[in-house]
Amino acid sequence: MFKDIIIGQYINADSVLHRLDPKIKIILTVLYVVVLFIIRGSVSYVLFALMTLCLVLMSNIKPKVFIKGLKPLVFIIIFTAVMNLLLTPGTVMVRFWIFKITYEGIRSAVIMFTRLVLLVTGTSLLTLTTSPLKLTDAIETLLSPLSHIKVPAHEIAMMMSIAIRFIPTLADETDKIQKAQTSRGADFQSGNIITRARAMIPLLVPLFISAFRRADELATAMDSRCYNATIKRTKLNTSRIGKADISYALVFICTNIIIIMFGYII
Amino acid sequence: MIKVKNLNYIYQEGMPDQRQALFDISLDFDDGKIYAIIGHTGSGKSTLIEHFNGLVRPTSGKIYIDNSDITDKKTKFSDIRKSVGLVFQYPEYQLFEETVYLDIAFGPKNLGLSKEEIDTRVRYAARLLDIDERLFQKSPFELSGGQKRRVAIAGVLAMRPSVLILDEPTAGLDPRGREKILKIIKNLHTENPKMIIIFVSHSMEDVAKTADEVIVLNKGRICMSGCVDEVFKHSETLQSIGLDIPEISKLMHELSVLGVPVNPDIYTIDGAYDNIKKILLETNN
Repeated sequence: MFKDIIIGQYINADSVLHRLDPKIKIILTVLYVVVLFIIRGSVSYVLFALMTLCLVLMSNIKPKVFIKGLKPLVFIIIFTAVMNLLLTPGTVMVRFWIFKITYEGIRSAVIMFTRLVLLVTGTSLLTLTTSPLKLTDAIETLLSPLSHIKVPAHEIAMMMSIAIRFIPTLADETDKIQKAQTSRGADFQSGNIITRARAMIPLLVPLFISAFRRADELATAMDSRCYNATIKRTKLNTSRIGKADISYALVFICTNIIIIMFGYII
Repeated sequence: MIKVKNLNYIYQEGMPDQRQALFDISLDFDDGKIYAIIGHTGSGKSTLIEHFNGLVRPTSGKIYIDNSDITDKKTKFSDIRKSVGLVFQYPEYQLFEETVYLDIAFGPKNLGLSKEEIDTRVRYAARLLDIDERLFQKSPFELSGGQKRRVAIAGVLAMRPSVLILDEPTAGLDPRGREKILKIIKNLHTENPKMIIIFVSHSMEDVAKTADEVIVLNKGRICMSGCVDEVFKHSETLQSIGLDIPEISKLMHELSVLGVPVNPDIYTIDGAYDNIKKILLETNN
């Protein structure tokens, strides 16, 4: 189940999105998320979804990969939608047992569902098309102005790159431990929430132990190579923002403004 | 008995990094024998054994264990796992319980056995793996590497499987730990004469010492299979796919090339000792 998580995974391919400057990409992704939460009205949502679809197609990554990435989150997404459906007060449409479905409920359930799906798809576009190394490099550059107010930009970037780097490793590890415990008859799927939570113990204890062990090993390896975070470093590959990056960003921003406007005009 | 018929497995089918890990594997494993699966890293050894207890479903092909088809969607996995015990690589990393006793009892407890039965099984498995009962109340994390590994293997054995599969059981152990594990495998075989034991290994010495039959995998295909004597005769083929032959085989080969009348197909130190002794006695006479 864990190997399906695509957040933090990078798929090597060649596309406009892969070549785009990572700094621009991060800023545009933040913008994407903000816009997703301020748009109003179904027309805007449809246009926004269409834009996301275009981006997915532009990424040269099979849509299947994105669908697979949504799978582990299906429960949360459906749960949120159902909660919205049943618990929103308003004009009652259907009533059964202790539940009532309101017109507003349906509306907010659909919006929540769309938002979450688009949120995951949009943000995974960033990580799928940007290698973790470039990503953290860009974060470091973006944070570096803050180092004047004593924000440890390099340390944050380093911690992030280590964290991102270990997601697939730990996912592999989880998969392995899960298989091993399954072979010993452990059952992770059936039972109520409490038995399921208890069933996670044989998985989580070894996973934590191995994560700490790995962290320890990494720290030793870094120490033995005299790693020191306070030393100023120059970069091997510095990425420069080019004309193509700027024009892409402008197109993206304009598209988003148009989408937002649609919500307020219609 | 395990029967594997035309097994194919494609890893991450439909994804960009899809690749075929196993090609048309057909194999028979008979009761009461020790099998070794050898092959280079990435040859598909681990993937193959994960099929045997239903952790991985084949893309195509069939696997029968005691005549029941485990690739059938209706087969209950809990039944397969009861009869096929799988010990993973570095199994000590799966230990999680507070005490050694509880960790070994985890498997039998999942089978829903009575307290008394669990107790007998824990003691049985501990005895077979030479785990002192005084360790039972200790935390598994306080043990040495070799002890941890034996506790982890005991945890699988306590489920009393009729097929025991071990993925690189001696990896990362010191020579004494290796010896101990191999001896335990041999002992298991004498105590459970009908049990099928399959182990994956990189070490030709381990294979020579322990296995009855060898299966050689190369790039997801069966390259050779048969009894140890036969397979080790093909030292060139083994070396050409990146596998090594036992040191002692190399020595016997070299000697016979130099004109010493030794048997070049010997692969154990004991065999070589007898052979060389015989030749020395003959020449002395």
